[in-house]
Amino acid sequence: MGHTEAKKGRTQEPPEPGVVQVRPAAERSVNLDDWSDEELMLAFQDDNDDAYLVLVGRYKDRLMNFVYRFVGDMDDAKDILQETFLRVYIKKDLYKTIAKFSTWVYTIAGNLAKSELRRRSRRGKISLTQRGGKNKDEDYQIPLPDLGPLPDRRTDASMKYERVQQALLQLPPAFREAVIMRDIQELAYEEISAILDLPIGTVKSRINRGRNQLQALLKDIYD
Amino acid sequence: MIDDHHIDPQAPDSEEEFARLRKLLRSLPEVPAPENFEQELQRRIQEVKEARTPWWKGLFSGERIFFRIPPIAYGAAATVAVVFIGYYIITSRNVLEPPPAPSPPPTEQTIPSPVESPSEEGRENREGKSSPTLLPEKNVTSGYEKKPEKENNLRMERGIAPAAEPLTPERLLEKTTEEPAYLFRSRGAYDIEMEDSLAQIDSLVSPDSLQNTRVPRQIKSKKKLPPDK
Repeated sequence: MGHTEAKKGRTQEPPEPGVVQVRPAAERSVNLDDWSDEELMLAFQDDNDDAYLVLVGRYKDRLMNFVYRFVGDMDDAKDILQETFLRVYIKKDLYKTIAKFSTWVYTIAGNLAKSELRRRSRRGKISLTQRGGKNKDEDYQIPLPDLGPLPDRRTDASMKYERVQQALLQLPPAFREAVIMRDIQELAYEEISAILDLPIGTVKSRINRGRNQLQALLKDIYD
Repeated sequence: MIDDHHIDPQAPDSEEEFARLRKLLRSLPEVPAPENFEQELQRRIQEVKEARTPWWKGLFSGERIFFRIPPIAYGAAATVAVVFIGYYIITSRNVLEPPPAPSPPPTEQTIPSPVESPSEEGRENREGKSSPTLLPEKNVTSGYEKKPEKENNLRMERGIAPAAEPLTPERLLEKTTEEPAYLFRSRGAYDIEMEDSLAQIDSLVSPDSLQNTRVPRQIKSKKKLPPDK
């Protein structure tokens, strides 16, 4: 209880720049959906598992979209998403309110996604867009049967989206991550900088270079 | 490695330049999480919880004993155990120490003589002592101390037998069960009785008669008749 009171007392202090503000418990409504991410996380640190489930509901789709665009594989994306929220659950006490919860959870997901890419490169597992390697003994990713509409019946839009996804996967991971965060997830530069732990200028330059490469890859779509 | 240094980090944002690309990226369909994501996540969390819980903690879990033990109870139990074990160790060390010396067994003085001499006063008068003890008091108290030879020599000069062995209750029991009653008295006690008897005889004899008996002796010693020629 003392821990909770300390947290409450901390929230009543004058806000400092860069510190996430959390309302005192008395000012929060009963409905957890009205709580901010950080308030939910503090409640979760006090063993309120309902708060954790609300956070999962808020971020599962956003993170799934981010991870899938980053790794390009649905199964891997599911596993990474599971692992992300599992780590949030286990490492909940490591979260401090000096950072936004979204920054923290995106950092976890991004690190897990990069680890998966490294593991995949060590195994020689190549994505569909990178197939055709020189070594035939490589552990190629076996294509799953396509249960969707036949290619001639596919809409132009779906084909276009597939092309864009393939182009994204051809970008270097550092550029890809930055472009996805900025242009698909629509995160602010400051937040991307905090997630990647890089200066804002570096983030901007990576985004620009990623866009340049992506535009070159998708030139036929524009024309 | 990504080389970011040759690009000016202060370069203006190129979002207008890539407006079409950005629009295309934003138009990508959202990829939602699977429908059973929460259930799968709960299952994995439960697995991790069970895997991380030590077996001994499961013994006291609420599922088995139907109530939750407060964490302070574990600390209190541990403290009590430490105190109890510490106390046991300290007390067991005391037990290992050598036991104190046993109390001295009763000596011959403490045991009343079975035959009370009727002429106690006479014996005292003869010896010129008021104490009925044979040994000095300091020697009587320590039963384990070896008696000095001087004392025995003194007793021999007086015509008294050497001091008998200290009579312990065990020894007394042996004597009463194995030896006849007249042997129950130690040699020292027997001698005392004899001396007391002599003193009684002395008291009965008048001093005049003693003088009479001595006169011839004195005469004999002082006056020697010359041998007859």
